[in-house]
Amino acid sequence: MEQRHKEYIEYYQSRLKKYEKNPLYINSYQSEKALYDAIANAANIEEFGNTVESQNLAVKNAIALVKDQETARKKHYEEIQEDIRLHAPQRILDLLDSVETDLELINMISDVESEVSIEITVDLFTQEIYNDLMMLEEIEVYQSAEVPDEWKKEINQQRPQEMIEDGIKEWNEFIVPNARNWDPNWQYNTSLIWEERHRRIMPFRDEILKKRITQFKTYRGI
Amino acid sequence: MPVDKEMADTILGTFRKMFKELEDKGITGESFQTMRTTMDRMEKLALETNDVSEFTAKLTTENLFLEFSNAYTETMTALAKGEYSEGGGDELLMEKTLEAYEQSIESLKGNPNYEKLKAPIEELIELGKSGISYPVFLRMAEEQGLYQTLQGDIVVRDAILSDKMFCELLHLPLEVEKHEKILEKHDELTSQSPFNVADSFQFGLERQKIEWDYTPRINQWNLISRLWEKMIRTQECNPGILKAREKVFMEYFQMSWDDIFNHETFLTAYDANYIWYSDQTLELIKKAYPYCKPFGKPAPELIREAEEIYSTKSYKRPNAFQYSDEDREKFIALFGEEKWNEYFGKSRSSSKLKIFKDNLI
Repeated sequence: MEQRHKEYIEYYQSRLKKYEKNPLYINSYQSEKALYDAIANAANIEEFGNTVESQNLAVKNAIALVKDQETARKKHYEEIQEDIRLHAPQRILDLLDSVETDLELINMISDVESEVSIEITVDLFTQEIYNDLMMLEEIEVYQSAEVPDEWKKEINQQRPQEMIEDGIKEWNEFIVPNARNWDPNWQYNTSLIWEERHRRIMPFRDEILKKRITQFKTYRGI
Repeated sequence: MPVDKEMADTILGTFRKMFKELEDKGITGESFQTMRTTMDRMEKLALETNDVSEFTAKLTTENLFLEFSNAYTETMTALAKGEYSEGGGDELLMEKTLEAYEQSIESLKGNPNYEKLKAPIEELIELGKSGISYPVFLRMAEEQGLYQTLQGDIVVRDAILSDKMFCELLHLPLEVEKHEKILEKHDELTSQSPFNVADSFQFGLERQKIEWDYTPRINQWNLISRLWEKMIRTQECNPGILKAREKVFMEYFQMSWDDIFNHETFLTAYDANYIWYSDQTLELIKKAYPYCKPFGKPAPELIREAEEIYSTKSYKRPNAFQYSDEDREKFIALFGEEKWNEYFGKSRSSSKLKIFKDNLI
């Protein structure tokens, strides 16, 4: 065996080692092994080159890596209930078997990631309620405070109404147009607040959240 | 009105650079033509849209970033295939590989982590030029974990450490704990790796999981702090307002006035000099609390005490929002002594808030 051939066998062996004991990379290990076997069993480098090309081993290897990583990403998003982010690994895995070249693989992944990044941006508008919590608390405090007549001058009785007027104006002039830049048909959907990825960022009881949702709708004129 | 020029330059800068590099090389072809059409459309949108959010939304929803990147990949792939098919075998491959690494050092210029990021690339170039063959070069780069370090692993670890120290400086215990766990996970993955470098993909998922775990707890911490800060604010101590705030506090976290002063959020803020009021004022606030009811009035001795505090100007904590010596050391470790002197002078008399106001961080 010529020296160059021997050196390439050692190189493919080192690549194999990288995935050997890591359960995340089961497919990559197999595809790297196919490459290693191809070079170890070839009579020379040229024969190895022909095998790689005829069996599309380099592309299969890239696909295997994507399959491993996207499978792990899918499991991860399922566990943490990130239902929108989950779309990216789901779609990539669905389309993976239809890919035949490296370029198709790269383009398919970019297409899916770009599509899902828009979905994520749109979904994150749901968290406007979280950003508004302080205002909602202030409105409630000023509306429910029990203040004797002689002290009423001390607090601004008009404050909650002014806050609501400003809130509606800001919503219509900035937040809605911004969201519609991403989705022209966007409407705030309060039922999404209860989905785990949004619900969990507001660490208080459901009945309090229900009250805040009602106040939020008034504050933003929804 | 077009998007602010500086903002448009920031967003489009990389794309313009990528396009120009290929244009200067005299590249033609279908995919390069797509790059040109996409670039033109992006430039046009910068002039036609009214603000940055509309501009970036259009760039994304019209798939312009994506089309440009795909066309760029296609152009580069065609270019590489052309060069490699010219023959020359391993020597040419080595030459092209090292050339690509040298170019990547150039493109890193201006990156704040330039020195650290370029080190492993230089190591690779040196290895490639050491006289070894191409397959030996590839194997050694793999075994020494150089490909993984190229993905910025050293910078990642340093960044976690700085983030942790920054959170210590700001006295954010949960954030500190979170960064400790991230660091621990990073080092665990490093030790499990055959080449002693954490797998960046795997680490990314683990990191996200830890951050996800901490988010509700950190939010709760911030909410609790925000609520009691408003409750102890004496300027707004209208009894009716205070009672309404107490109700919110109770509804959210089943906590009452008495729970504030022993709660970890308060104790942390106190130790960090984040409480503006002096101890004397805090004691007065506690004593006045039972009288702070709608239609109630404070006892005369408390009014006298308040007057005395006001006349002697002892309402404010002398070291409120000041850095302690320990904080100062952490700040210097993070940003250097020069920045400390620039921001706070040698007297250490400036407020912690200044650092935020001046957008240093």
